Amino acid sequence: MDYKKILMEKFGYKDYEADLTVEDIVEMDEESKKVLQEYFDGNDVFNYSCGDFSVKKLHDKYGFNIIASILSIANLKKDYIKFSKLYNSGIK
Amino acid sequence: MNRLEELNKAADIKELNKNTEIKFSNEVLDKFEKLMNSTGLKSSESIISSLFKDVTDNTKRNIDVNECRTMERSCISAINETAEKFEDGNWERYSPEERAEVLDLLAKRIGEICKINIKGVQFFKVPPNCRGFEVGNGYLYLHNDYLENPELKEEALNTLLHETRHTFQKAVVNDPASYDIDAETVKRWKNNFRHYLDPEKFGYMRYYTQPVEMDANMFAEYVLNHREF
Repeated sequence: MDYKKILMEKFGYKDYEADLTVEDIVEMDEESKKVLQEYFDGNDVFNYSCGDFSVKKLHDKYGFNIIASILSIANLKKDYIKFSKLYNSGIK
Repeated sequence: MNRLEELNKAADIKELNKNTEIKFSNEVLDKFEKLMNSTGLKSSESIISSLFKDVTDNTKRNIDVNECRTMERSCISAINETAEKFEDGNWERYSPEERAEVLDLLAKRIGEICKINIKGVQFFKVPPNCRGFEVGNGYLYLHNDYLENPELKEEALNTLLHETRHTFQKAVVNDPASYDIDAETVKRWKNNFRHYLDPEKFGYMRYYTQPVEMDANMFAEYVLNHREF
C-alpha cells in the first residue's frame, strides 16, 4: 500500500510529514495496520483501544488526529506501562 | 566519524531534510527504547534527561546546546534567589494567588538575567493534557493545576524552565547575532521550528524526540538538578 500517497492526497500531509509518518506506520503491529486500513477505507475506528486509551479518547481529549491516535495505540501495545506513563505526563 | 558526527554533518548539509530527520529520530528512538526497558526511570523527564546523557556529551555539545551553559548558570542563579519561596513548606502554605506571583516573579527574573523577553506567567485550565506552552509574545503559559496543587511544585518549576528555554530558542533563531550560540545549533532550531512535529499529528514519540523539545527537557532537568534547594 502506498501510505505516503494516501497521507498526502487524502489527508494533506506535506512530503516530509508523510515520510516520517510512513516510517512509523511500517513499524506498527499488524492489527494496528489493519485498523489504519479500515480508517483509510472510511470506517469508524474510534473503539480501537489499549488499556485506558482508545482512538476516541486520544482524538476527543488529547486532540490527536486519527492517524496519530492509531500510532499511539500501537506504541501502547508494545509496552503499556511505560508508554501510558509517558502519555499521561502531558505536553509542554 | 562516528554515527552522531555523521548525523550532525548530514543535518548541517541537508538542513534536517526528511532523510536526516528520520535517521536522527531513529537513533534517538533506539536509545529511548533501551532506556524505557531499564527499571530506574520514573518519569518521562527522567527518561528524556537520561536519554540525552546517554547519547553522550558530544551529542549535547554538537547537536543542541553548545553555549547554553551560560543560560543554565543564569537560571540556576535566578532560582536560587527564590529558594526561600519553595523551601520549609512555604510553597505549600501559599495561596494559589501567591504561588502565581512567585512563578511570575521568577520568570521575569530569569528573563532579566538571561536577556530574553519574558513579560510574566499566565495560567490556563484547558486542555488538561497540556502542561505549558509559549507563543512568542513574552508570556509563559502554565496549567492552573500548578497553582491549585502544591504537590506539583517540581513539575511547575520544570515546565516554567521548559517554556523559558523555548522562548530563548526562538529569540536565538530570530536574532542569532545577539546570542553566543553556534550557527549549527541556530540552523537546527530554526529548521525544527519550521518543521515542528505536533503530537496531535505525529504522536508523542516524534514530538518528544525532536531537537527543540529534547533541548528544553534537558535544560529544565539540568537547572533543577543543580539548584541549591
